[in-house]
Amino acid sequence: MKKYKHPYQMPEGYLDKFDTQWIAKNNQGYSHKSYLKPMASIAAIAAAILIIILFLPNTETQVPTDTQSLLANLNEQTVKHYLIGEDISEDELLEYADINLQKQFKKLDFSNTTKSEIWVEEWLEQEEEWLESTY
Amino acid sequence: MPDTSSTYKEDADLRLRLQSLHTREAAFAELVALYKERLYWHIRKMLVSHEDTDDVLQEVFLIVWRKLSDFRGDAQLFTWIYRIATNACLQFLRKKKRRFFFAYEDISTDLYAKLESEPYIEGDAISMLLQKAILQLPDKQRLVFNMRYFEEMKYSEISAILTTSEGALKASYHHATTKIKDFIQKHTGETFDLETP
Repeated sequence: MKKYKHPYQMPEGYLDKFDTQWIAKNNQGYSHKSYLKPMASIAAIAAAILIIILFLPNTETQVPTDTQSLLANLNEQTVKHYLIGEDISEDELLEYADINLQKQFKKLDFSNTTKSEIWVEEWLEQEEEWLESTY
Repeated sequence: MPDTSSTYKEDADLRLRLQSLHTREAAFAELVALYKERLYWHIRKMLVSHEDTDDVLQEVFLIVWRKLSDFRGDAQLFTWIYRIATNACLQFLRKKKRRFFFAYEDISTDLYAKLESEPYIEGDAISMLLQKAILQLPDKQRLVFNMRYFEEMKYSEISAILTTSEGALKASYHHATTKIKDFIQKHTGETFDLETP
């Protein structure tokens, strides 16, 4: 069976130039050109808040307290298992989860998509913080 | 994929020299030389664009340098650096995602466009279609697929980097290959097989 290769190429001499480029940027203090500039970020946040206020006043955005406590009881393994395949269905997840984890997951109601999305977003944020703490 | 046993030996030696203030700078230059190419490919496969990869790669080494004194040696140096690179990629993608306010724009469309327009990409039709299929996957599945299929990492190594159980990684890889096969079959009308490393 054929093993496929990725089509990405590195510009010629890039690695040789990398050291000097890196040192120069390090000395200047690093700024990431692809990230939003602070002013643009503030404007974007303000626009997002305005949109939410104007168009989505009745959208349910709170995760119920009982769900939060249930989430808190889920162990780290389960959360990561869910996160690693963000779009896998509950059935697919249960197929691979351990018996104990299955029991915990069966307590969750995945029928409400909005709630599921909120949970995923919350877990992603928690995981991001957790990854940062592992540096 | 480099021989990881020799990588670990080099890591152990480097780690000692990185811990001493007298040898730290020279050891860090070695670390950059040792890891820059493999991290470049690791990041590039996630971000598609050479320019974005260059930015993130520099950021990764800056983080490594700044956090060096905090590195407790609980993990292998190899694992720790890959974890930082992986996290930097995911954060870069998340920050980009937040820029898309409208439904018709999303990160996969953006990456897809880069795949079509980037100057440093060259492959036959099936390799390009494979990349398009990979870009449809969620970030983490894409990450697991790239690490396993292209970088030929062992599940135990990926598990240490992503701090995720091997079972979860196998499940993720299984889902990824199923989606890729379906995508390619849909576009070519032919059965597509992927060698499982």
